[in-house]
Amino acid sequence: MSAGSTGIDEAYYPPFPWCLVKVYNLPKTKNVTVKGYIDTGSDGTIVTTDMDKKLGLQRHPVMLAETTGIGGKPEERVLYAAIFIIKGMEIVTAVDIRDDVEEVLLGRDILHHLRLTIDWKKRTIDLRDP
Amino acid sequence: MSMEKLLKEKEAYRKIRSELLEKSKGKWVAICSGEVIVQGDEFGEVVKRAYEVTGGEVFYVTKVGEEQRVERRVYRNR
Repeated sequence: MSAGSTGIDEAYYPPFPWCLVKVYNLPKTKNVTVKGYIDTGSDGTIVTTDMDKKLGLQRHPVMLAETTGIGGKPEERVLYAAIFIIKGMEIVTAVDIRDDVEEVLLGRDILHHLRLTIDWKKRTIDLRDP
Repeated sequence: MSMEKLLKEKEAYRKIRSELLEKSKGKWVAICSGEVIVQGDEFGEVVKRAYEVTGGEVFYVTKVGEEQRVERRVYRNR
């Protein structure tokens, strides 16, 4: 992935690795390009309500899931279909739309499709189609 | 409306689950109007094909026999 399309955000502590992702709605009629923060500790991908407003993701619910944060109570939530383009790879997944996050968090539902190398010392991210 | 339809399709899946366990265990399935409309090995392919088949209607997707595993999300950064 070219320089500028990945990075490590030092505004967070610890710093948070990210990559640019293009996200489409299921009909592929609308898309947005955003920073996706690489969240290897999360099972699933989370998007913001702002992204939902732009893409209309809520028109395509596909699953129900029991979701929990660490120490939180389980909550049944609807997950919506979305298409992510990363390094030319198209990955369809079911995302949680949340009003309590400000970032797009890429979970292992997406990351397990990719080869991901993080060099924390050099502050570089390499994402590839394996 | 979408949510009601999703719940209805999930309930329909529950009714046919035992039958599906015999012939489609381990497959991703998409349910619409109470029936399996698409099945396959990859979530993404099933979702895209189901969208084409239904023309945009709401459908419910799960993995037969592994519902609890795939219908669960733990978030550690939240």
